[in-house]
Amino acid sequence: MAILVTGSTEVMVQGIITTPGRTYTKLMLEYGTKVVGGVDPGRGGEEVHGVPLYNTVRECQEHHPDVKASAIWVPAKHARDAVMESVHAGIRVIVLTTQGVPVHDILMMRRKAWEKGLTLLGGNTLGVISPGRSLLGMLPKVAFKPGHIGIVARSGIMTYYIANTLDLTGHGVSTNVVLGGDVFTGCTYEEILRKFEDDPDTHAVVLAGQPGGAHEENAVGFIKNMKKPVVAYITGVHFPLERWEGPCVPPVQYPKPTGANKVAAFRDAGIPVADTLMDIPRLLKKAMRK
Amino acid sequence: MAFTDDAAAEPAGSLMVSVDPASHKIMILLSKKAVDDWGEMAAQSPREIAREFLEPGEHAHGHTGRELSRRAGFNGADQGRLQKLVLGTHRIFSETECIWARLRFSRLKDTLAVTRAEFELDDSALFRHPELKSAVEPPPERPLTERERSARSSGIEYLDLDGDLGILPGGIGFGMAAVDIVTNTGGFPAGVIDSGGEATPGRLKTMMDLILDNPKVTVAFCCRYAGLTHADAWAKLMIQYLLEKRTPKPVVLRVAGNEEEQARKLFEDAAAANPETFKRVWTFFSNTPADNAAREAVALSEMIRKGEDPFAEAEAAEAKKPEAPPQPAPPTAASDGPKPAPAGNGNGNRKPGTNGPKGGP
Repeated sequence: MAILVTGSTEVMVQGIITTPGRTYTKLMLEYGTKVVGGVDPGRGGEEVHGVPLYNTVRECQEHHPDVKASAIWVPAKHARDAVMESVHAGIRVIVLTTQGVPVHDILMMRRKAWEKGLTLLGGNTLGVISPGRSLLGMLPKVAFKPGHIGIVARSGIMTYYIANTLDLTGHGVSTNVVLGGDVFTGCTYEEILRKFEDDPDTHAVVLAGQPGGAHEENAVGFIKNMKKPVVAYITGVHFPLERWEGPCVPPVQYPKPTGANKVAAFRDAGIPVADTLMDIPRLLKKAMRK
Repeated sequence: MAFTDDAAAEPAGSLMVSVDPASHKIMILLSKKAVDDWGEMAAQSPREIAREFLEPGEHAHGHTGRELSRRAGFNGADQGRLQKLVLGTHRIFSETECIWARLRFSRLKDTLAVTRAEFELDDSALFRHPELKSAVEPPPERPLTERERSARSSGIEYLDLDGDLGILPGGIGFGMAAVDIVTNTGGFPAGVIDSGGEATPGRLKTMMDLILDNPKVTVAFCCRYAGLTHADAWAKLMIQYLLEKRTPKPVVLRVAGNEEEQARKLFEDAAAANPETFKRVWTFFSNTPADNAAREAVALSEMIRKGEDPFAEAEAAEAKKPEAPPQPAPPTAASDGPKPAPAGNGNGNRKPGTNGPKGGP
């Protein structure tokens, strides 16, 4: 089954005529994703890689009533408009790849998506892939083999390494979800973990976290009550974050959102945390035996 | 409410409006204390802070400020003054799209006056507020080392650390993991570069020079997961660099992703044609866990730290070896094909004829 996208999910691309929009639409089509339409204001009637273009999301929906997901490649200043167009149309899974989206825009979009029960990944996400079935976004097919481990992470590239490590120990991936690397994102770990918990194809989950924000800490309470095993891998434990100029983090969190404090929050709750990549399959095996 | 720069004014309280990382709501905090660290204060003296949460885009109302100030312990007259301060600050925060705003206020005669006001603007939203660009003060730059400054002048983000193992990890997402892995396996990172994105000859040279020209660095550990790029293109650049640089320092490479097999072949051919240069280069691919490649780099750095020569044993073995009959394939480990690496053993791709580093934590 997998979560968010399966082989039958019909997908549209907003901003399909941008350079990354064209590039990754091609990549998705080659992967087998059912890209049924592209949306670009004023370009209705044209085609990109054989995909028909429409002027609005609603127009695309009129021609493809089963379209359920959208991948968005638009400049940051147009991101809110593009996402809200999909939200208003009730598109269930929205992948906002754009980097540098204003924080207040993300807060508002997240709120609206949540009110309608939709999933908004990003900004600054590589998207979601259900290996062998469908790809929505920019994740490389080479990194992910089909299987039964769900992965959810904030960093896209970390998921390549985790999937590679799982593959070396005989595990594949049911669905790999990238929330996005920013401090404020459209979706929480909990929303994704809830879907993995309900997915018969997913037998266990790897959660990868990183310093900054409160995403990981917020997920602890939910994970404690999950039936499926979850192994966490938090990076940046030995990284001197105070010497690295990352995104602005509001100075209101305590303990500070360092990698070490996040690891402590998970371990205090009895959730296994891997120290290295190869620890992940070892801990998964142990947790799945229980 | 007035402003004052009267240093003698008696501190009367603090106000913070911020995006709350936990709830993603707008959080307004008010206290009678002069608060420096709101997070610490909220955790350790929660009763000293009154807080209110608003949905993004929601307006603050008069009662928001009155109720907050009542709960923070301000009296009736001050409640009216703080109502205006809360409303005004929230309005500026929302209209200018701040990440946070924090104010200190003092008692001045029979009223309250703001003594300090800071607003952290969202750089990503400044396109909607061009009038504010001139008001933005650049954040205080962290003290940079000479090498960090040099990297930044080339458009590269680099972090100098105290160890002896230089790391070129791809993006900083894996960079943080690489620092952890190296540290957890007993190594000491000397520096890490945010080296994501498409590599160019100039950029790769600048980054590798940053690592290898650092006198503290004894070993370089470079990882490339070509997810959106091509491993063979990166391999070509790296081979060209290594042939030009001819560094005496060991270089441990792990390459994976798109066109990985072509990258493997390029390294095999380069090693066969340039054995003297490539005897100091360890190449690993996706069939070796990244952890194990890092372990090899750590073990090498440990040997060098102990004054051992990581190549001596290999060279001695090479010298003793009887002349082998001609082989159809170039004598590099990379020609072994993508077989699964043995778990817990990082030498799945080690070159035959070299024993490579020994030990490791």
